[in-house]
Amino acid sequence: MHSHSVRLEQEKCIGCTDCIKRCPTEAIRVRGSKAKIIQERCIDCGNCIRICRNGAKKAVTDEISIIHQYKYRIALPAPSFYAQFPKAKNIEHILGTLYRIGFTDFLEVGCAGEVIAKHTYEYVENAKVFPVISSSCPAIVRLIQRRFPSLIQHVLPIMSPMELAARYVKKEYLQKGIKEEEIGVFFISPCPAKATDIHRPKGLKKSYVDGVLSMQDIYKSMIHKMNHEEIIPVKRQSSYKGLSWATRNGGLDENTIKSHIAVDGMESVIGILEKIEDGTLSNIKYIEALACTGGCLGGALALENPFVSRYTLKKWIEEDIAKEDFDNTGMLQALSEIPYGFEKNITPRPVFSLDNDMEKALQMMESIEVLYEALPKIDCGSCGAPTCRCFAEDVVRHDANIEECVFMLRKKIKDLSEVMHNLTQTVIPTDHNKERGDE
Amino acid sequence: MKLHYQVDGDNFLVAGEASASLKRTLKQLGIDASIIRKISISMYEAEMNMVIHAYGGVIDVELSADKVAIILKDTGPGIPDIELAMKEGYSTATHEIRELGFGAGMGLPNMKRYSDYLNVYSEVGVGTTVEITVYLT
Repeated sequence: MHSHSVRLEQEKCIGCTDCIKRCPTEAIRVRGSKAKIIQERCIDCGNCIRICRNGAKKAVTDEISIIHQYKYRIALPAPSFYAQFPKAKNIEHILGTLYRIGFTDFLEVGCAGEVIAKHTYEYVENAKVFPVISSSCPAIVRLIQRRFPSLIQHVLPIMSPMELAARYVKKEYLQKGIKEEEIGVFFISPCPAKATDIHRPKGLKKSYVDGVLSMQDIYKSMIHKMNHEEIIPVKRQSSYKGLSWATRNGGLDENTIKSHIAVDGMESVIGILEKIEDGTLSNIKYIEALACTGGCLGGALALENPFVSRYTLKKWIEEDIAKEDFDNTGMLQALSEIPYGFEKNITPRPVFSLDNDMEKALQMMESIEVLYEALPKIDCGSCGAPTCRCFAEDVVRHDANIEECVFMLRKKIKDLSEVMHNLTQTVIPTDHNKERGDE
Repeated sequence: MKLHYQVDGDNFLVAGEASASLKRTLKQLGIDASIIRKISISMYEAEMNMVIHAYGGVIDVELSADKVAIILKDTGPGIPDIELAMKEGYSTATHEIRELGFGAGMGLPNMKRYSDYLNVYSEVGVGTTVEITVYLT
């Protein structure tokens, strides 16, 4: 069973406190000088991958070789992928090179993005609970399930452009009379969260994507094949509107939905979600929330700096805007016919809950408060927990010993040595008389 | 179980921290999300009122298996006409405060809407005490 897409490479971990401090769901502890991920808390955001200076955290994606299990191998490149190739001649150059590394076809996720943006606009116009929160970033949906369960009703019940693109491809190929087992659809991903998303999709019964490939891996195999004399001719499917999805930190602009906030970067997103919970953003209609700084361009599997990527993508967009004869309305029409709504509800995952029994939880909470008061409250991380409060929780849950706090240990040693010193004062020194006799 | 918070009256950066801290505790207690929402909204409004009008104060929370009782006490200017203050849209906030997005005159009405029991005692020149109770069952 595929669980999470962020794994630890034991031998590289030196047991520092960098990752535990940056995890938005307090899912990492250092135990026995190695980081440990608490699986049910992890949301696959990739923060720990980015922060680890030893490269001990790894995103788990599929090997490129798996595409050869299928006769028809269709790549789903997202706009963020184009931004990794600032030196390519144009987008056609990038897309054509996909054929050289083994793909037989592609569908630009950008055009599915254009259609999803339209569905989103219609949904928001008729919504009853505001603000609607976008569901395109799987790490954010997972964050809401765990830290903000009261906001589940705000989550946009519409699938991601990746999923819509995959469904369209499968439908088209099946209609051509091709057997399902011969069709392989692969997303080229900027992040580990998307990899988890195809194994345990949110709001969907199953994902139509057969594999998630790391953007870094694809880049590495493609970069040597970009210098070919001739460019393989390809037909574009996405317009500049689809590409903009990745630059504006979201699929919608101010012209389509008024009162809309686009927020990116985990800490900034948490700040906004807290405000929605406090009821202070009910005047806002739509929130586009992305876990990575710079949106998908800042994903943990992207190669280029997100700000440089944004510049590159802007360049591609300007070129696309200049193409006056480009028309993808037929494509968009075909994509619009695919059902796009969620197939099942998103459920809360209250991983922070102390106990199902409220009385027991209250008792534990009181113990946590008492213990927390005794701790130094400097959040040094030496115990392996991100904060003193979190450590107090771990101790009360019996996941840690109080002596793992160096300050508590020092105090205990001091107390013990006092007891020992006092003991020495009470014991009758057997040599005492002899010593006196010698004088 | 009892919790106590000190609210700094002159610092908008930390305003709302007591509410945020209580929210975290309630989530750990496994309280239903919709009830947490009621408590968060009403307490946040009350806490912000303390910061805006009354230079801060103290908040005492009593948590039990059936209810959350919150008492917010300040020694601010007091409310001359509570009935008027309970009206939607009524506000005494300065222009500066409104610029920050507060003071829309929805504070007390929202507290009433989201709590199961609300009581406001106030004496001009002495201070205000707000009692909010939300039942868990």
